[in-house]
Amino acid sequence: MKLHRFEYQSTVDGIADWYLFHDAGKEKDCIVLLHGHGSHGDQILTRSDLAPWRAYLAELDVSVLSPNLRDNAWMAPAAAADLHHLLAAGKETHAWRRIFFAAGSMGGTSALIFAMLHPELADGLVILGAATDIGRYASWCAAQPEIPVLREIHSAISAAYTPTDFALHNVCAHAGNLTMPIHFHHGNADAIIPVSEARHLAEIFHNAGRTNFHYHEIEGGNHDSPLPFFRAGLEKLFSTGAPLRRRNWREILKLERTTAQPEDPFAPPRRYNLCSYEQGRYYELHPDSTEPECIQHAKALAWALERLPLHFHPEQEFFGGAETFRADELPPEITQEQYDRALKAFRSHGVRHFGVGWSHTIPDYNELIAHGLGSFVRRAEERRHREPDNPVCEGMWIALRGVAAFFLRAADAFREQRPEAAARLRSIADGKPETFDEALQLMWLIFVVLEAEDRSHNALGRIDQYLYESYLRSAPDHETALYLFCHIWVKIEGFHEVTNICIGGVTPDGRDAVNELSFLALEATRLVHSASTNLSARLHRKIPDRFLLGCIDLIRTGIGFPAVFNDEVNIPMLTNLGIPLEAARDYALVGCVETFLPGRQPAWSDGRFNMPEIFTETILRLEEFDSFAALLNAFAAGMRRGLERYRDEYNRSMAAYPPDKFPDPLLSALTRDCIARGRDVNDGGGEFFRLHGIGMMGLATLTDSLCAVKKLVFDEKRIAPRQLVNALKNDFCDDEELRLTLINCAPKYGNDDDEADSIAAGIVKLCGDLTESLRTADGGYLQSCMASNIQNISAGREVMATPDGRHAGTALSDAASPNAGRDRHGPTAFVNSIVRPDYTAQNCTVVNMRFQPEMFEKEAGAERMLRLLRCFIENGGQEMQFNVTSNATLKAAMAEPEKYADLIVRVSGFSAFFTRLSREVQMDILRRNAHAL
Amino acid sequence: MPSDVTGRIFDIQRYCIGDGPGIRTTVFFQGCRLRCPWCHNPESRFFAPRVSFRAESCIGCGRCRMLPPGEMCRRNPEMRCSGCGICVKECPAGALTLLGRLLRAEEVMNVVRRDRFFYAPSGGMTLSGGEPLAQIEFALALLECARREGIHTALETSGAVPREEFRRVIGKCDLVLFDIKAAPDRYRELTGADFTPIYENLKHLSDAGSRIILRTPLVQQWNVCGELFELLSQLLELPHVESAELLPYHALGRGKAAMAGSSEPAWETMSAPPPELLLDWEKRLGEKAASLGKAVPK
Repeated sequence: MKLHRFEYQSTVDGIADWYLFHDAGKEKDCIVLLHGHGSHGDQILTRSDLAPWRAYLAELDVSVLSPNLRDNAWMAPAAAADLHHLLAAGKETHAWRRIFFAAGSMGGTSALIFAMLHPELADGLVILGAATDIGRYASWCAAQPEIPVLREIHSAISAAYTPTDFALHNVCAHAGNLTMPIHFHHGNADAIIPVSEARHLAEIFHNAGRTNFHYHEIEGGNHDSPLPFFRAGLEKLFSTGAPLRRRNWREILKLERTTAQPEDPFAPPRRYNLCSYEQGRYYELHPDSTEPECIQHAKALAWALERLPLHFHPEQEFFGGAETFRADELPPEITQEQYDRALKAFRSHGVRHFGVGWSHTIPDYNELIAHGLGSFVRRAEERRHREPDNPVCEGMWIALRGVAAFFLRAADAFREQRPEAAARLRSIADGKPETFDEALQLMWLIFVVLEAEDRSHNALGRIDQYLYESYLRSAPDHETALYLFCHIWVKIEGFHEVTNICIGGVTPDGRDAVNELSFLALEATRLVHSASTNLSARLHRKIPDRFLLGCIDLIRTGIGFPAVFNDEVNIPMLTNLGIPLEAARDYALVGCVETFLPGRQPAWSDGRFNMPEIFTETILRLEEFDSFAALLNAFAAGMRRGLERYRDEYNRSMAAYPPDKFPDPLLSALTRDCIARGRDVNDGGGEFFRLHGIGMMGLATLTDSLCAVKKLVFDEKRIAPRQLVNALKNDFCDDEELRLTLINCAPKYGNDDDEADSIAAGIVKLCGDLTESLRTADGGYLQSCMASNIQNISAGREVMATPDGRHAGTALSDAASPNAGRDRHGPTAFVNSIVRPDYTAQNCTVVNMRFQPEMFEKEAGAERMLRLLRCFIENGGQEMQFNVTSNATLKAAMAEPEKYADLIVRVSGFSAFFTRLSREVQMDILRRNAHAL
Repeated sequence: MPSDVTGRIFDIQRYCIGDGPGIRTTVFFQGCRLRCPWCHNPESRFFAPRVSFRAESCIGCGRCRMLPPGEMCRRNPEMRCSGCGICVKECPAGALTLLGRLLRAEEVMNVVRRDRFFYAPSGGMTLSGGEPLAQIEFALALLECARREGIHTALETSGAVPREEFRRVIGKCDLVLFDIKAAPDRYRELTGADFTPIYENLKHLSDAGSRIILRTPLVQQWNVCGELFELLSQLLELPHVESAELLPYHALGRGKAAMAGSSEPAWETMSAPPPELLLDWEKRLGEKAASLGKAVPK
């Protein structure tokens, strides 16, 4: 082993630094040595106690890198950037197979931090006595002033780290990034770095069920005791290191995120759909075709799938994605004019759209993964033989064959370049997927093809259920399974839309369905950290605490996933419609939050219904009513008229899309019973009927308005009807006192107030009752949904002032949530309120809950949140989603207090609503929270 | 009937997470005889009802018969505030809060009960203040009501009440959060009360087998000293004292005092102790507790 000294200048700040390097040549493993306190980058040469390390390294055919890294910087951001630069360049130049770290003491801490920050550059770690939370360790050092070396370490850390860095470089807090094998040795009598540091990380991995974290505690060992384990640790890494080349999903993610930033931030990425283009080309080339539309559609799709360019990035594990059919620019051989013309031809051939059943769907993954694509092709073929005159059967068969041919074309194309991936594609083009990775590829490529047909917001369904059998069969280790999930997750990001993934819930026979894949999905979501992977967790009474705690851990990161759904409400909701119990138990979510029976129904669709607008028609006649009940009756009558009008308009628009002119052969083939019945999915082919959601907007706007009118106009007679009507008409102009009275002197939804909550429950019930009889022309249901997406803002523009004190033109309340800022009694009161309505006649409810991150910190915080979730399940909430309010919002709250009245700041013994505190105290909290960072 | 006993409170806060284990509902009693300068609930010192006023919210409509904040009735200047709450209800701007509301125990329980579901496994009701034991009958009534319904009870007290009254509460609640506010020889100077009877109350509580957690506010310029540490360390040795919690000073009480019409001159001279001292005390007290076989405070 020949170590040479190399000098370099940091790309961060230009300071001069150096490293030792032994080059074993190309495609070798590289061992990175990091020194601890009191040593330097040359410790491997200078320290006599490291002689055994030197001897062992000399035996090996590996490259060795020993950087000095600013001496005592302990992987502070500048040091991390320097090392990243060194290793990325080294990997590029020397094509290292794997990079292993071996380091002790603060060097070990540094290695953990670096691997946590850049897991793609760390294939394994040997850690010999190290701190796992640099901030906590620095505080511990500060508390031992009698030990000089600790004082030194403390001042070295303080010099290199800002308080913000502590949080970012806290290994325990980001332990999930450490997916590589780790061998950690620590003496339990270590006086320099307490053993609790090691135990803390070991406990995190133990609780997470990680199998490739090996912790060894040396009984009575001191700080130097782990040194001899250098060799054993590295030997284990060499023998267990992954033989498979792991493709770097982070690279793909980076690529997708760059793609997603076109010059015009509002332009959708990849605006050209080459699949639609090719389908259009098919129609252009067959202008006189007299074949039935469903056959033409299927042939056009098969034609397109034969011609789509085949992209496969070397770092992608799975084939197919948005890049398969979408592009930011047209290929050179296609002109804009040609594209436009082809698209026109495409559109002229009966293309459905979201409103009439097209997007927002899930294919029959249960059957597909259990039996394979080939079984679908054969069933369609058989059906076609039995019923040669039925073009629908022919269409489904052509479409399925087109998909299978596409798989085979890709398999052929990548036979040399990517043999494993090609074998996988070949296998799933016909047979049943045997392994976990085959099942994932099949699931994913079907998703891609459905999206290629110009659909959007489709979902993956119950991924932890239909993949589970293949997962058990393959039994991949945790690390491999997670790696495969992450590759799917980054591909989801590629579509830059909402892709729902459902986990948890009950099995069709009513058992708890949580399994290892449910946890893997949580972990992948946290790692990939994409806004597109819309994870939904189904909860029920018997759901295990450990799954809820897993969900809470993810929610606490602020990502907003998973949204939680209550089986105790959704399953009865479906059975009430006549869906058999077993099928109802197998529901998933599509789009954002919509309940859907995967592969057994026509695609979901929905629209919006402006309840407050109906209400304002009623309230303007306030003087006519002699009682609150009379007012409610008039409002209910208005709602009934409005909803019947809605139904009629909906059915009229559906009638303009007859299934024979607007066929959907591929989705039909992938929806249960369409092949057996020989019918299109929009023509009664599906096992179950269609559901269309009516998004009922402004539940809290309406509830708070009714509360105010009831109490202040009818009960207390504090406000005269005419005064209120006039004030509403002129948007409270000159009557701020009245507006404040409406806001402050009447009950509000979200406060566990019986009066307000029963009014909200009454509105929800009214919506359920009124929609019960609303049927689609093809025998489905129009269902009430207490959801508004973000249209509560635009819908509010058309609504005059309302008696909840809302100004004309401002946003309505969000979905089924209490009015922002009006819930003032904390999270328990909030949850008690929102579980109050009976949601079993609602398809999808959305309740947004916002909280300060501090409120759910640590184990005790997780337990508190667990109670909130249990209450949600037990007492019949339908859906909840969580926003963690960062400290930065405190400033916004000070600027616009009205919007933030529900923001709670709690400290020991005393707590308060932030906006109700004096300015001076607000400033104090603001400062204190900034310190807490 | 205990449920009919009445008392004065200034707030009931739900989802309290700093007043004992788990999710708790804390009932804040009105009135305290101590005068600790750092008090973070200064609006609770007075026993008589009064109305707290948030000037920033006021729109000057005059419905309350605008008076300077204080004890006088806003509706009828001839009268002292009777706690009727009419002005609070009338105020359209939400600028007024009634302190010292008179409630029946049953009315308090109606709020406490609402979060029953959330209390499992360790949460419940906490009586705080003010000094809950200054309204001993009300405190006992609430403890009995909660206990009858299986709700965990905690009592936060300064222990500065006559021995006979203090003894009545022993055995009536599940956990006592006992405040230790200063070193013994400075107790009177800083709080207005002597330490000896407080210590005797604590000792008696400990002898009787009550679960106790000591709680100590730390204000660098006022009560932080070696003697206070020694005191806490000694008190940890008492049986059934489980741990000592240190509460570094925060300034959140200031605005509330002004809104309630009182002020304290000494605020400029108050701050939390340096973090090193806090860590050091926590560590040493934790070690002491551990050496006595007690739980280490989290």
